[in-house]
Amino acid sequence: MPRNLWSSLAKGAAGFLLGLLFWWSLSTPYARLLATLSEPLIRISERPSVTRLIADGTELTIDRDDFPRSSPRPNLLLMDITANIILLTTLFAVNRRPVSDRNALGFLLASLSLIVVHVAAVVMNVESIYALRLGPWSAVHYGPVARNFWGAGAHFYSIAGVFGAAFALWWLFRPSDRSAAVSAAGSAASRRRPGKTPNIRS
Amino acid sequence: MTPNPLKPRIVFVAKFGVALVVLYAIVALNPVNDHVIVPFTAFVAHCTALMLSTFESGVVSVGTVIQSPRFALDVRNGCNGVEATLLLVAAILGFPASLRSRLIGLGVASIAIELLNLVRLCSLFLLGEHDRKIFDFVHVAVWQSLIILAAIAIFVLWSIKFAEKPLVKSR
Repeated sequence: MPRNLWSSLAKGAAGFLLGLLFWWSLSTPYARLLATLSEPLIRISERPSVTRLIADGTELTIDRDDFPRSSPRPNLLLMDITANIILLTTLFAVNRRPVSDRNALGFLLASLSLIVVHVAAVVMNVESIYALRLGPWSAVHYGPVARNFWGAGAHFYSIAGVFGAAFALWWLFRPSDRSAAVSAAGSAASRRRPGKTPNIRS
Repeated sequence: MTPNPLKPRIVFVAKFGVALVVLYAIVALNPVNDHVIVPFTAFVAHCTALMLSTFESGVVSVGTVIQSPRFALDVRNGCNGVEATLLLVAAILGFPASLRSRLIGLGVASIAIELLNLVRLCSLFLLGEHDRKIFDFVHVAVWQSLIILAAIAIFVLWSIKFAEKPLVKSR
């Protein structure tokens, strides 16, 4: 077992709670952001553009101008789609120097990339609702290939992609051990010789 | 020319992504789902009901449903531990290692994930009997992340223990 297991567990627990706090407290404004970013992407493929995504708390209500006024509007739960931010925050918290500039930059880049993933997931889920859940309307407007594509895409995200994406982004953007060591040595050298640029060999 | 330090990461993530999609496609096929995943999920539900019956009487499993007079829980895809195992398998396949190391990693990790998943299902069932709101929160926010974190922790430990050994020796 690694020597710093307890330290990693403590950092992981703190990161997990922080991620939970982010996810819980920002879910309502984040739903509005996702609606704003996803709606134009869905409308790109529509002639005429009829889809409107309306943020309602932590859900998106999917409305279309061509839906009958009396019919119920489908909803999309966002909490399941966005829960991977908790995982991402925890993974960055467990890194060797969690509050270093490199780790913070990596976390920022990974979080921005995760927004792109969330937008893609919303588009995929909305299209999957259109393709599979609107009865005869779905059958008329979506062929078998499109139905399978959107349905499988949304299902893949909910089963494997949601957390696979967070893991992959952490792996891509986490600072390497070597850069963390260089950063630490640089800080130490700066403290010893203020005003001088540290000369570090790695 | 200096090698791009990001290249190994990009290669790993690409292999991981492809492996995850392929594994998902296999698991999502109807015959595999009907003849492997659903019976496995029923087995997981049965084991959970057995564990729960040591705490309280009247807990039984019917197919993939765990039920008591007060609460019923249907174990579906995403709650049977298969998703965490898929992620782990994809990561182990994407990482450079010997076949033996991979097989050891896959075997040990899958068992560990499924044991942890039994704890998850037991705790969710007990929570669901007492407070539905807390059940929903813990189900989505806490346990899903914890299971995947456990899978990633196992993968990282495995990569340190097994996969990096040949690299160290060759230096």
